[in-house]
Amino acid sequence: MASFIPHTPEETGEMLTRIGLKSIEDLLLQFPATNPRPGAPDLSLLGEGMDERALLRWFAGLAEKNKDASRAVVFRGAGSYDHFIPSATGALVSRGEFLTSYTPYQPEASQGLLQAIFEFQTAISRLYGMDLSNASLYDGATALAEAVLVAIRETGRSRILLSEGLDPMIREVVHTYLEGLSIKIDLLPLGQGGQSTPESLKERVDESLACFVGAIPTFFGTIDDFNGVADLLHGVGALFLLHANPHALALLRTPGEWGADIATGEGQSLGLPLSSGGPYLGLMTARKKYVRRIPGRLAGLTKDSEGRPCFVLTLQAREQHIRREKANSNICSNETLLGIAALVNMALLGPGGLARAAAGSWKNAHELEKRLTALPGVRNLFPDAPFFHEFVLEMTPSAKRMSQFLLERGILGGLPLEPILGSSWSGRSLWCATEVRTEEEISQAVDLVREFLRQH
Amino acid sequence: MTQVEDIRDGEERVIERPPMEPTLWEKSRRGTKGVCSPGTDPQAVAIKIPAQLLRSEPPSLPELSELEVVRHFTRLSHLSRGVDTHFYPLGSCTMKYNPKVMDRIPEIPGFRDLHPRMDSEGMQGLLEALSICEESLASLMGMDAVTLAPAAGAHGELAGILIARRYFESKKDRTRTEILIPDSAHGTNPASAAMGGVSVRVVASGPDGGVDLDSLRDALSERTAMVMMTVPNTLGLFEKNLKEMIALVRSAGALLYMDGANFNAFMGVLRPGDLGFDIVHINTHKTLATPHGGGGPGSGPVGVTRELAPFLPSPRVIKEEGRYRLANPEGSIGPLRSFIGSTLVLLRALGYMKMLGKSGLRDVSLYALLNANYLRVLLDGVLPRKGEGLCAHEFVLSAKEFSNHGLHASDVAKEILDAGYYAPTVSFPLIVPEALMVEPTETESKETLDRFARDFRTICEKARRSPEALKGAPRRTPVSRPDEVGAARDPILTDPRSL
Repeated sequence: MASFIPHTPEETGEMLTRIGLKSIEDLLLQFPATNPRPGAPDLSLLGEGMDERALLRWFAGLAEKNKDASRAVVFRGAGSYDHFIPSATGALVSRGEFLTSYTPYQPEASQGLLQAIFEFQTAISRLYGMDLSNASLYDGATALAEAVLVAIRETGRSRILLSEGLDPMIREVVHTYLEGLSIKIDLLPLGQGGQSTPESLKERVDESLACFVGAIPTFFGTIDDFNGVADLLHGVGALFLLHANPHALALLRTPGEWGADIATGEGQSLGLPLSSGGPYLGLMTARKKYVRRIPGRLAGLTKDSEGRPCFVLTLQAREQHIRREKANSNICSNETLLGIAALVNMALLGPGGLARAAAGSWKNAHELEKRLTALPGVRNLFPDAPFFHEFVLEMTPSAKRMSQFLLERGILGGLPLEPILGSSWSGRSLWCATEVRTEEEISQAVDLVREFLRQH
Repeated sequence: MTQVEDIRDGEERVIERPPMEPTLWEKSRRGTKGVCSPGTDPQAVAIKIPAQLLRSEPPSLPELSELEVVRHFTRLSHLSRGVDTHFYPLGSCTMKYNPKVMDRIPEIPGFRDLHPRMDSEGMQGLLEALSICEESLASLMGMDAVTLAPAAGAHGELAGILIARRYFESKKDRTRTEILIPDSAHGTNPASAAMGGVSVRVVASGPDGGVDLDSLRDALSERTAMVMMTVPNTLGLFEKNLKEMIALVRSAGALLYMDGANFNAFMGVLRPGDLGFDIVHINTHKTLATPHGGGGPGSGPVGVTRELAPFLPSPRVIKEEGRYRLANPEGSIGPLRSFIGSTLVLLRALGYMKMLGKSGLRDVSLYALLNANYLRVLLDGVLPRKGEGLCAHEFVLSAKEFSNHGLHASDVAKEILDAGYYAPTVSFPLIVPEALMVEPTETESKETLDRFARDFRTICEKARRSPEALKGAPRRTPVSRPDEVGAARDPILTDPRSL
């Protein structure tokens, strides 16, 4: 079977002669003999190999068992969003010079890649209203965990405050990252109205706090008001962190405008496919004063020895390959290629296209909410809070059963919240509509929910 | 175009550097329409949102036509090198050919357009594929259980450290808070340990570059939680005393971690689990041929023994009566990232394992060893090598002799760029002065290796004869050497034209 090895038998023979070996197996003499560990899976599980056609057929067979967006219209978000992706994006990022290159350690042979990273950093910074961005982190959740670590190191304090409006999955990732560091993690509850209140924040802010993290929009889709939060936090020497959906920021007030010190986000909504959950794109932006604190690669503009403008990885003294255990983070591989994809999308859509898409999401979600809450026994859990493109729907029947009912009929409906938030959330589901949903699809979803309610 | 003097081979002639590409913001013209996105008029929506929740002005993003964007990124691609365009002997990174058939797997709608919060009955095919991926990796590593969660090798290391912590906590052993790491290790090892909240103790290497048995013995104590080792080590050498080391660590009651960045040397030949390792990560973007994408995405699956399996990150793929579901087991260290893993990368890796099969994967390592040793022999006597005898999949040369002429390994690397290659890894591992780390990988032909060896020899002769010439390298790349000191002094990290 194929191993993508180009050697002819004659060449292999010549090479072995040159090395002074008789057989290629002699190269294994440097390894010790071992016996299979009792109970370990057998190597023969790997099979005998297959050709291209058979391989693709095998994958196609597995893929058929999945209800992708073409088989179930997506009305679900919760951190992964079904957005428009221009065709040019895939064509450009699959170019071998981007796809098959390594981290640009040799700048002279990597100018295109470095410039793309620099442009990505620029676009993300402007979208977030912040001074700077890094070249990416693994995903939104790990980006936020890393930002919290920056705040802990910066302040030398060991208590953090997370908004209940952050995706519970992301909060759990922060827990995992802080596991070994003896950090107290407090939660700022969202009020009855689905937004946090200044009073409850004030109660929890004091000089023991390293940072507070808010969300734009919240996991429940509501748009929180952070008026006065930056001053409150800075007054006690704590950092203000915001985790924001970049798709929404084409319209909504930016982390920079709210006065955030560090802002993170999940870049999937900038036009990466749903991708069965990964790889996604961790975004991290910051104020200039934290430039030497933040983790990850940074591409900078400089001049070459002949005075031409050029790009280079910079401030590498923060990183693991130089600082080892004193580095800002252990991150090495990141999500550069996905950052380039997001950049290409932003360049293709422009500021007008991004705002148009965000407005489309807002409009479709509000249309959907209006029509679903018009059904008998159905209400929006937070009817008075402004929301972006997601909202929590409440009804008596089990949301899990509704999800099943809809999926069998070609709709991926709202996410049942009970498995995530506990039994009191049994009738609640988190719905989303993005700019790609059509009126017919919205009508179909509403009709099916009506049908479900009639039967249950 | 800029003209520069080319004085390679002592002959002077004029060559031209390709032109640089203006940035998107330089090319932007206000009002230019790009791709038409679905959506609606933002003004009509903005009036319905409370004003204090809206951004005050649109982001300063470039405005270009679709063709302008296509030309921009195509031109940028011309200013960069990848495995598809150049020989890439970047040691420790295993820059092998990334088979094109694997590019088609992430394009299959059933995977590409699948929502990760899909109900489990709607993702049976994905979970089955991931389950097979776990099994295949487990059999390749000789481990009992595998997590696909880590997004990269360093992320896998962090997982390993958190797992080790949980393991000792579960045994009520609170004294083991120290990790031993050889001085030749990748920088991610100590950095991951620090993130996991354990302290790092460095173990010195012996004169041959291998871990010194006595240093290891001295460093081991009742405080040692784990020893992290790279196999083969970063000199491309299989530790001579590996079995003794493993026995020492075992008898000290500590766990053994294998950094599998160099797994391309012995895949299908020798299994870390059979050697006695408790936790192993591998890098799919190295060994299993998933493309590195200019820095990522990668993926760093971790295999563990049965004893450690309960602590693996959540969620886990569970198979019950022929059906698959996701579960969050009680003892888990918790989620390490969003969702299950970098699934589209993992499916490529699975495709590679499936396509090559057991014997194809073994051939990969045999030929990786063959190519490295062949190139090593061709370069014998050109520069001194650290280590003796057969190497594994890579080897490390020292350019120290050139320091008399004021040259560094990086100067040699720049000249290699001019000869039409990407450069070897420079200045790593840290235990070799002026290191040049060369890893040809199995997918390069004898002809390429012959040509590279010839050019490398010529470059070293030139370094001896006219060292000044190397300081001016590279001359054939789009730019000459960047002012890195200036870049770091007052960093410019966004395009000033965007402000």
